[in-house]
Formats: sequence, structure tokens, C-alpha cells
Amino acid sequence: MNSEESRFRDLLNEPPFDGSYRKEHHEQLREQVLEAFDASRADLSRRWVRPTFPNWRAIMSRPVPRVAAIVLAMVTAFVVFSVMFRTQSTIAFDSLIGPILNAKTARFNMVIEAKDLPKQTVRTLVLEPNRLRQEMPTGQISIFDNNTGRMLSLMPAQKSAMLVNMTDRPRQQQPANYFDHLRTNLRAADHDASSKREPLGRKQIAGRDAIGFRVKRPNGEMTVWGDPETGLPILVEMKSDMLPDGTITMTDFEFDLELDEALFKTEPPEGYSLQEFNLTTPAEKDLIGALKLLSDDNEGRFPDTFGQTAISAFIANWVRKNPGQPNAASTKTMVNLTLPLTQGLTFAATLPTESNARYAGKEIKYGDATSAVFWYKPAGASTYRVIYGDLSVKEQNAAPESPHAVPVTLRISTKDAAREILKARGDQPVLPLPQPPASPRKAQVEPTAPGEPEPKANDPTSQRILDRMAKAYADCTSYRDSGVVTTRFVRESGNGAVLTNTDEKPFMTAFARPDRFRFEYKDMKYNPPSRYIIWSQGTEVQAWWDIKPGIEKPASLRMAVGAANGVSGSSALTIPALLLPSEVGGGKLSFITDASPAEDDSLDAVECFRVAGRYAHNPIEVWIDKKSYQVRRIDERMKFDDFRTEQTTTYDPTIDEKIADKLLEFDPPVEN
Amino acid sequence: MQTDADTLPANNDSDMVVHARTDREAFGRLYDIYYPRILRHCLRRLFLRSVAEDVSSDVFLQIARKIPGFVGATHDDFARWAHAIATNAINAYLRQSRRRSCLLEEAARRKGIHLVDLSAGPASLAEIDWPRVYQALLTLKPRDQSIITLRFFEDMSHEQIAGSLDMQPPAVRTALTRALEKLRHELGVEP
Repeated sequence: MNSEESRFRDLLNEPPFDGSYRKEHHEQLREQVLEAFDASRADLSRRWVRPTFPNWRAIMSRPVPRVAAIVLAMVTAFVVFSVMFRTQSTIAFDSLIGPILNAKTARFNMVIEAKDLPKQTVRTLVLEPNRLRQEMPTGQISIFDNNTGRMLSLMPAQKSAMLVNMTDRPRQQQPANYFDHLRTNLRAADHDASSKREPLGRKQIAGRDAIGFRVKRPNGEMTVWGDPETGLPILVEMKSDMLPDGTITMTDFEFDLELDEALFKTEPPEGYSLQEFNLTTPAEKDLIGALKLLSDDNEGRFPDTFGQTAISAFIANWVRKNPGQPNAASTKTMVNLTLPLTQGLTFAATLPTESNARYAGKEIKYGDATSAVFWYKPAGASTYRVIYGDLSVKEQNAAPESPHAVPVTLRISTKDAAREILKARGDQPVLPLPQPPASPRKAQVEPTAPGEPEPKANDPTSQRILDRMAKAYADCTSYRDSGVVTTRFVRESGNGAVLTNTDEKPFMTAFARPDRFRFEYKDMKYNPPSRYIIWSQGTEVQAWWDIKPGIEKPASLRMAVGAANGVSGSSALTIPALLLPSEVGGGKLSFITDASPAEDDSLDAVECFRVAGRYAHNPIEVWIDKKSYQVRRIDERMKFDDFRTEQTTTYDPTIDEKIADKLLEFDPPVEN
Repeated sequence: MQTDADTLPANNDSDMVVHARTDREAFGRLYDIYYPRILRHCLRRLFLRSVAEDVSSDVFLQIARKIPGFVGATHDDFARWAHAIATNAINAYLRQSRRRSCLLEEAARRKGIHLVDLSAGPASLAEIDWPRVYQALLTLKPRDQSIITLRFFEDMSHEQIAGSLDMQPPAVRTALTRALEKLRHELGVEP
């Protein structure tokens, strides 16, 4: 080593970085690499001519006419260069999803395939902020503007337009869209260690070289194939709980192109007939009206479940009674009939989690004044509102008990009878209407997925403990905690279970009623640990995450903790949802099913109830302090295709004591 | 997090390399040996773990597809070949200046590195810390980055680097000297 090299060695030899590797990635990649090895061996056995490129140095050093080699080089230069250039390119996941996440405008084709539905291709245009235009093959155009809460549907052939105003609906009750859904999940997958992300290698798509990644999230699976040179996505395939038995494929992407604002106007064009509907904030009366409509349509019985399936069955019956091709008048009638149902369903399905809302209409006849069909506890109330079979409403101190009680969700099922009937009539099925964004309870607890057992009603004793727990948080004047989410990733192999990785995410919560809130968690797998802070006071909400530049101002605290829920191992949402049931809501502890008492035990000398149950079909056990009814520990297990996670969240809580101002400050580090 | 012993098997274990061309189990063992080393090489060039994991995945998938045609017989041969693929993959990633810039900014943000204005003027030796060197290193051409990285981070000889980058050893020496001159120039250090 010469003196020049020696001079730099000290600086270059000991970079302060963590050069260790994650065993989880090592193991996951090992399987893929061995699969690729097997494929290459199989390919080799089929190949009878293996193309090889010349070894230029050997050619030039041998006594062959160098001119010939140069001519050969010139002839093949373009081919060789292009092949080499292709094979040497690579790209990382974050580069591939960057254009999707950062685009201000986008245009692409979306193919929707689902069981019992013919394939349909929808041209989709996106204009930030929050505007979406979908052009159907039938000519129908739908424009969603989530800023104004308006949705315009145009039928050019009939020169008719339908405008739905949702202006006074809370944002969480307005439609989301599949592109937003994709963005939200890709963004979370890029930062969330619990997401299973695997490279798929390369393949040809429509004659183009493409590199792919698959992302598995609790609410769906996405496959992204992109151009290894430009990083632009070529094809995205999404399986989502928004469309449980279907696949959405997005292709022909164009990003940040000029899009005329006029394409996203929610004013009907001149010459169109207009039907206008106003969707107001759903209320209890809408639910009662919906239940009446559904029982009338079902020979005086309430449907077994209250959800999209029941509404679809209602539409199917109407179509059966009113045969013929749809026209403006029939469309208006159908919309007028179904809007009250949608309103009622939206009310029931978007009640805050602490309301403990349940539907139990199965086997109950309309007029039965003794059987409870639906109940919920309004925000801040101490009693339940119980709707009986005669649709009277009574206030009760305790929730009724029923073996058929289940939560209500907005999940779409493409087994809907209406679509089958529309298909049988030869109509183009309509695109499933995007639904409000998924809440933690949505889709995960609805017992409609094939093969999944229906959730059972909670054991009364356990339910009482869970109710007392929720009340302890909802009634407290102040709260703070510190804790750790520990997630162990265990891979099942032929030789038994192998612990592949353990993640630790310590967190702190501080809250002073009415509206001062601060949450922080750290992800210890980074060095230094990654930090995420959420802060709120009054209507002001701020969030800071050290992997994103700047300070974000989410629209609400609910949005802020929702965004951090996945990456924080749910610690951002679980307790805040109980502290602020109206403002935040959600959270797994309000949606435990099959709850039953486990043997009481002590934890750090604190006597605890243990309630075992299921959340999103996965086993969960909650340790609750017998005196204060605060959560001390949550144990969960989740099973994936080839690995499982065991997650323990511990809490060290303090309630109703003064919280130091310092603990409630928004204090991200000053960025240089 | 796991660490590797950072020791290559002796070349007398070269049967493994030969068998790995046709034997799944041998190839799996080879992967286990070289994965930590290649990932660490990617980490040193790309800094961000998520990016380094993605690139190293691509590297090993390429190796898996090409190993049946690999003509080397020893661990030295395989190491050179694997590093050549890794270097190409890393350089391909860094070829876009936009990515280089994003990578640096993201790395600085995550690791708390304070970026400096390299064009502001010469620095004294005392001011030259590793982040500053890394920042300057990223301004060099990918090939120069490769040579410096393999020489100083992977502790490769000029001959080994030549094997990995398909160059002659004297050319590596010359290129390394020039790359260090450029690095010194970027850092504003007097010769």
C-alpha cells in the first residue's frame, strides 16, 4: 500500500455503520435463491444452445485478424450493449414505488376481476388532492372529489347525470378509492417491518424486462412490477379486503402528466338530465329505516347479517320484481331505495369502537318487542340504545346478550346476489363502489370469508371486564404510560419452529383531558432508533417521523394515530382509541370476539384478570389490572403463510395524576 | 441482527464451489457463507438497509440463475465473481444521480449525519470525518467508487479487484491513484 492509500485507510476502514444482517431477510432470500437455482437447473436441461458473449480480451490477444474482431464488435455492439445494460440494472423497492407515492397526477388502466364477475377495464385518472375519475367501458364516467364530498356519475348515452353530495359527512365516512388504498399500503409497507416484502426477480411483461416485489399486508397483498431502468411501475396487482375474492390489476401507468382540471369537475355537463341525492351524516333513524326496509323485503324477518350482502339481496329482489333494461327512471328508483339502506349501514358500521355496536337480527321477526336486533352505546353515554324487533328503542344499562350478536362492517362481497342477477340479465356490472377506509375492525371480524368460523358472542363475565376496562380509560382525567411492543418472528420449517427475528418498539403515551395528547414510539432495529411522534392539542394535530422530512399536519388525531398504527405494532392506536373513543375510536380491544376468562394471574405483583379471545380471527389475551382496570399486557399471535408472529405489548400505566407539561410537548429534533 | 465471522473458507474447500453449480445443498451453503459479506458490501455502498437488502437480493438471484454456467473452481473465483455482480448491481442503482442524491439525503437523515457543502472550500485534516468522506465518495464515478470500496472496505488486493472489475492489475493501480486524487480534490485536501 503506497503512502496515498495509507493516508485514506484510516478514514475509510472503519465507517461507523452497522454491517450486521437480519436473519429474517437472510432466510427469506435463501428460499427464493434456491428456487431460482432450481429453475436455472431446469432451464439448463431444456436449453440446447447456450448463447455466450465473446471474451474480448482472449480474442484480441490471439493471432487472429484483429480487424475481424473489430468488425464483429461493430456488428454486435448494439445488441451486446443493450443486453448488458439490461442485465446489469437493478432497482430497489423504494425506487419502484416512489412514482406511485409521489405522483401529483396519474393515469392508468385498472382491470377488475372477481369471482362471478366478468373482467372489466376501467381507465382511471388521479389528480391530487383527492380527486379521481373512472371511465368505464360502457361509457359511464364517475368522478369523485373527496375535497368537496361530491360524486358525479355520468351516463353519456342517456345524457343523464347523478350527483351525490356527501358534504356534511365526516371524512371517514366518505368513499376512499383503490388507488388511495394502494398508496396507503405501499407507504406502510415501505416502513413497516411487519409487512412481508419479497423480491420476485425478473420477468418479461408485454415484451418489457421487469423486476418485481410482493408485499403482504394484513389487509391485502400487492405485487409491483417495474422497469429496472426507470423505476417506473409497469404492472401492479392488488388483492384487497375491499374486494375479498377479486383482483385489481393496474397497468399502463403515466405519472405527473398534464390533466385538465375540467375532467374532474363535479358539475354535470350542459344538456344532461340531473338526479341529485344528498347523503347526510347517517343517524339512528336511518338505521331503523334500513332495518324496516330489509325486514319488509325478507318476509318480515330481519336478515341474518346486516351488511353489503343484505343490501345486495335487497337489490336483487327489486331487480327480479322489476325486469327489463335499466333506464333513468328505474335507476333513480333503485338509488332512492338503496340510499336509506346505505345510510343505515354506514351509521352502524362507523360507530366508534367503544360503542360496542352489535347486530343480532338473525331469526328475529319484525314486531318482536322482546328481542334486541341492534344495540350501541352513544359517545359519552352510560347506557346502551337498544333497538328491538318492533323497532322501538330503549335505554338500557347493559348490552343485551345474544348468540347471534356480531359487529357490523362495510365489507364488499362479490358473491352479492345483485351482481349475479345483473350478470344474468347481460348488463355490465357496475364497479363496486369504493367504501370508507378500512378501520381495524373492518373486514377482519366479519364472518363472511369462506372457511372462517363465525365469531362467537363474548362470555358475559369477560365482556363485563372489557366494558369496565373501556370505561376506565374513557372516564379518566389524565393518563400516561410507557411500554414495549415485542414481536418475535417465527418461521415454521420441517425441523420445527425457528425464531428468525425479534423486534422491539418502546412507546410512551401522555394524555390530559380534554384534548392534550402526545404519543411517541421508537423502532430499535435502526441505529439510531427511528422515532415517530404524534401530538395534538385542541384541533391542532402534528406528526413527525424521522424517516420523512418535515412535520406533517394530519387532518385529525384519528388519521394521525391510524397512520402510525401498523408501524408502531398497534401501540399508537390501542390505548388512545380507548382514551378518546369519539375522536379516535377503533383499536383492537373493542373488537375482541369469542372472549372467555383465562386463569387470573399476577404481573409484577399486580393482580390481573386475563381475558382470552380473538381479534381478526387471531388469538389475543389481555391482562387487565383487577383494581384499576387498566391494560397491563396484550399477547397476540398471527399466522402467515410460512411464518408466524408472537407479539407481546406491555404497559406501565398511571391514571388520573398530573401530567408534566414536558411530557405533552411536541418536541421533534430541530432539523438542520 | 447477525454478524458473520468475516472469514472466507480456505480454497481447499473449493469442492463446494464446483458442486454448487449442480448441487442445491452445496449452493445453499455457498449462499450462507457469502450472504453476509455481499450484504455488508452493499450496505457500505448504499448505506440504507432497505436498499442494500433489495440490491443484494437481486445479486443473489442473478447468481442463482448464472451459477450453472460459472467456470470458476475456487472460493477466490467465486468471491471475485460475486463481487463483480454486486458491484455492477450497486453501480446500476447509483447510475441515476437522482438516486444518489436521495440516498445521501435519506442516509443523512436517518443516521444523523450533517451534510456539508463540499464546494465551500478546502477542509483541514481535522475536519475530515467519515460522513464527509462518504459524501465525497458518492460524487465520484461508480467505477471509482467500486475500486475504492473494494480496496479499503473489502480489503482486496489489486489483483482481486482486477478480477472483479474485469481490469488488468496495473490499470487498477492507476485507477485507484486517480480515484484517490479525485476524492482528495472533492474533500479539498492539499496533496
